[in-house]
Amino acid sequence: MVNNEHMTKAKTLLAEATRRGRDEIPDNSSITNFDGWDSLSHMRLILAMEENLGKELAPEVIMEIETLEDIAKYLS
Amino acid sequence: MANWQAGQPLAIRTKNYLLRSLSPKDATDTYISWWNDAEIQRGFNMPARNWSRAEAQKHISNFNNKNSFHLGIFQQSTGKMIGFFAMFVDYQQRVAKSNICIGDKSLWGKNIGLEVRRAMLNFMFGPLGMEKVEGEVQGRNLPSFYNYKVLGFKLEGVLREHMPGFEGGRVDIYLFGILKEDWIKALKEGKNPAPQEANPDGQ
Repeated sequence: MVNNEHMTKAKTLLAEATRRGRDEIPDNSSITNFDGWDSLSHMRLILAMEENLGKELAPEVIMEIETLEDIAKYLS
Repeated sequence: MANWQAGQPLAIRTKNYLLRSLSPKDATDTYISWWNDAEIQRGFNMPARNWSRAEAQKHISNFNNKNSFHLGIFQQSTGKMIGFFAMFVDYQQRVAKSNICIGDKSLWGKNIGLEVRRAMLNFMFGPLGMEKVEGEVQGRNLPSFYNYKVLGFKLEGVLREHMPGFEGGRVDIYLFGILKEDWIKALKEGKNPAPQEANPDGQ
């Protein structure tokens, strides 16, 4: 279950991946509405999530990640 | 559709880029360097090719602008070629397959591939009459996953350890696909903004 801690961690990872400050990451960030979330950022994000989880994400999971909340969900 | 007919060189403009069929004279030092660059070729799960100019020219000559296309991607503002787009068309099955290479590394991560692919999807589902477009990713190329996802492709399958990895071992091939109805629906919902000036022209 997603909690505030997961959302905070998700925002940190997305901020690092997009080379933005945490304050610049909108709560409703998605792959289509946040222009900092480009293809290279996405690669950095997935690799950071995998490092955080200690395992490789399945391709089906990678294809489901499109919002800040999705990131939090898979970190939970 | 404008003047283009199968077998003729193709030119398509997006907001910022011109895509046009390459001819052997386009095998410039820059173009050849993309084939001989290990980092760029890793995206195709291939080692640097070590091509000569003659080999690059021969490669370009293999495309007929009917079933197979090799289009240079040119910045409209500078005229500079920054990459290329390849497309393979099966008119009987009405399925096309494509791939893209942004050779200018300073432009990586700027979503140029999305602008180019949107225009080409409009062309493939429009004038070319395709019902489905496929994409194939060799190895875990995460930027490619991103591009297919944003464009609305679905991951349709994985061919496990299907080919040798150029760095050793074997790699999976990921199969992506998008149907014409899905593309049109996405356009209507504003998920894929229609590219401006995406009009095919004869040359």
